[in-house]
Amino acid sequence: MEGFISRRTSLTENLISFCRYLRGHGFTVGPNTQADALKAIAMVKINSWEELCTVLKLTLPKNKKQSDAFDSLFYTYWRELNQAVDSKIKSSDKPVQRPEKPVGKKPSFDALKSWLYGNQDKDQKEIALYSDQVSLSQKDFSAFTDDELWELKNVIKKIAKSIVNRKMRRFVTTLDHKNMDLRKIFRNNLKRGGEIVDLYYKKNKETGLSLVILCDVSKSMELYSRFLIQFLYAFQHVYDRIETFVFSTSLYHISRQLANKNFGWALKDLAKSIDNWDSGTKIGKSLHTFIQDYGAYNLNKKTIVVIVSDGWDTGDISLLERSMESIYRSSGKVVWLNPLAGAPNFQPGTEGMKCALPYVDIFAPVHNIESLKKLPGYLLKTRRKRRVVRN
Amino acid sequence: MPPEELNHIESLLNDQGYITERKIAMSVFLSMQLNKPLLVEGPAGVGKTEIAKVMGLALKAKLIRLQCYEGLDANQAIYEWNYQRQLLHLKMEEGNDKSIQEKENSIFSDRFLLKRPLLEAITQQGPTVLLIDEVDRADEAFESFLLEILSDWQISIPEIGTVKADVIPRVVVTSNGIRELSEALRRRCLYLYIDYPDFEKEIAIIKRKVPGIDKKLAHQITLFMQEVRKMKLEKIPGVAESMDWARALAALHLSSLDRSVVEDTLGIILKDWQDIRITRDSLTELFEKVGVTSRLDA
Repeated sequence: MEGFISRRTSLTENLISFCRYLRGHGFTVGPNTQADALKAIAMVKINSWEELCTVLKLTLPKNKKQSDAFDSLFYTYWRELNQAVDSKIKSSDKPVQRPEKPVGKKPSFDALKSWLYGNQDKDQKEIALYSDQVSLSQKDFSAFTDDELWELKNVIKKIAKSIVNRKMRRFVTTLDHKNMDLRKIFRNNLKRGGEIVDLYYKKNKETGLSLVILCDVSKSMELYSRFLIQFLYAFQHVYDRIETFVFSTSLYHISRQLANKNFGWALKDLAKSIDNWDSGTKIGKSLHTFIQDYGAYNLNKKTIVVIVSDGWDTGDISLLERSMESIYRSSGKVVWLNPLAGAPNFQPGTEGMKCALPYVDIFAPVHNIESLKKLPGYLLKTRRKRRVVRN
Repeated sequence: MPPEELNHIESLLNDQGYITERKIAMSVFLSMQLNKPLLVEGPAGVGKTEIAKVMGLALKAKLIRLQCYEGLDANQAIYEWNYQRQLLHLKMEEGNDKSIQEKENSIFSDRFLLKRPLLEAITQQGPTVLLIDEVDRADEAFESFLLEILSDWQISIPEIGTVKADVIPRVVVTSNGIRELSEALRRRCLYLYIDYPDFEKEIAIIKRKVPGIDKKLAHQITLFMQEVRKMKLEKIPGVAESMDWARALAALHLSSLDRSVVEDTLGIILKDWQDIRITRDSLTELFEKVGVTSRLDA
């Protein structure tokens, strides 16, 4: 440590170039933060590298990801700096080569992503194999106990929670004695000659957002469906105004099954009640059934319809177009999530996709966690123009 | 302000029964020295809130706590006019021939101001610790209210003017990570992440908080808890649960873990029936890791 103390005059410079190095690794270190770090070093008597690391770790990182990555970055930097000093390289030179890439995600997320990406590759191979035969085999859910799925569930829970319970700027009258509605008090007490007798209270109106999710579970979507079911399940449990349907060659209303508190039981229940899991796709027919049987109760201008499908349709294309138009007109917004759209050179080329696209407000990929995180944004914005989200 | 020594802070925290790491003592020290709020993140039950409480005790400061929740707004966090009282006051003054200006001045005065935690913390004359608990439960709009207070230590009230803090309160902000906090708030704070304690720290905490506990039992409880946390559970038990469990088992005058007792008391550490079931199923395996099976079988 003596060497460190004797080079003290250059500590500020070293620290500032260390901050630059951190910025190269995705840290947001502003001048204020730098100043704090310098002040902090002046305040604490530093006796060892560990202490310097602790002091800087408390001042420079601003979230858990950065905090986790900090230790190794710190030691790499100072080790390389020491080597640079030893080999008599001028201190004004950049002490460390900045790596090109910013620091990666948490390892657990990497695992998660590779699992999802892994699926994608396989999926693209299997697209050509989709069939229009109804396969009567029951879906085997035994593979659901993966560690990744457990973690995925937690991520989805978080996302779903951020969508619910949004308060609006408008007020409604309430009996809750928290906020007085002065406007109404004065207005209604005018009839009493300006005597304030009756009191009125107000509260923020809550979003009357109701969701309808229609999820494709046909053969071509097979590799996504176990992830999607998790997604639907988690959603159903944090949001009460939601109706969930799955379809392949016909439509199933699965809100009741998903409402089961135990995920395992919910799955068993689902497997029992759906007999043509993983078969062909008749989007048009399924959507038409939805409009006829459930549309009147579930569709209004405050409903957001989320369709999760790759757009492969083996049924009547014109029926699909008509159904889409009808859904578009009677709902607040239509969001189409396509797992294949995550591929860089994706074009909505399938017949079904092409004719549905004009009636979709937002077309976005849903193939990994990152794309899923954008979902709340799509759902909360009001209908403006048709939007196609690319990667 | 006299410069408090780092070691002094550490011993103060220790005196209050808080088993501290160098990292935590240092962050408390730095947040005091730099007058910056301390943002503490970490899983539930690792003693985030406890930091503020202990800080209050150690510095002999008044602890003001703002528990955040969904839908918390400025009225409940900063200040509110006491409308009912204002209306009554106007009513009583009706016969009076005071000018409108005078009446206005009288109803927009301190007497009619309901101080909520944030304003209360700013207007304190003595040392204060302000704990903003679980800030991630409140919405983004609320975070923006905090920004003015946390960086300039002042609150603007349109009818009165700006209230500036005479004594800057020590602020501890805790978050469970339900929602990602904004960059603006993070930038204004020092960041501390507290994870579940390691074996040494946890056993020290248990011994400190449950003085009469058998040494071997404390050792086994700690080992058991460390193993339970590695399992895939819905709600991972924190230190608070370890302490409760240790207290309960100590009250039963046990000297070591025992399968039937563990089965009966799992409800103390696990608060989800599925977790309890999973743990009960893998109890043998857990005991093997903790090292009690052989004795039991024998």
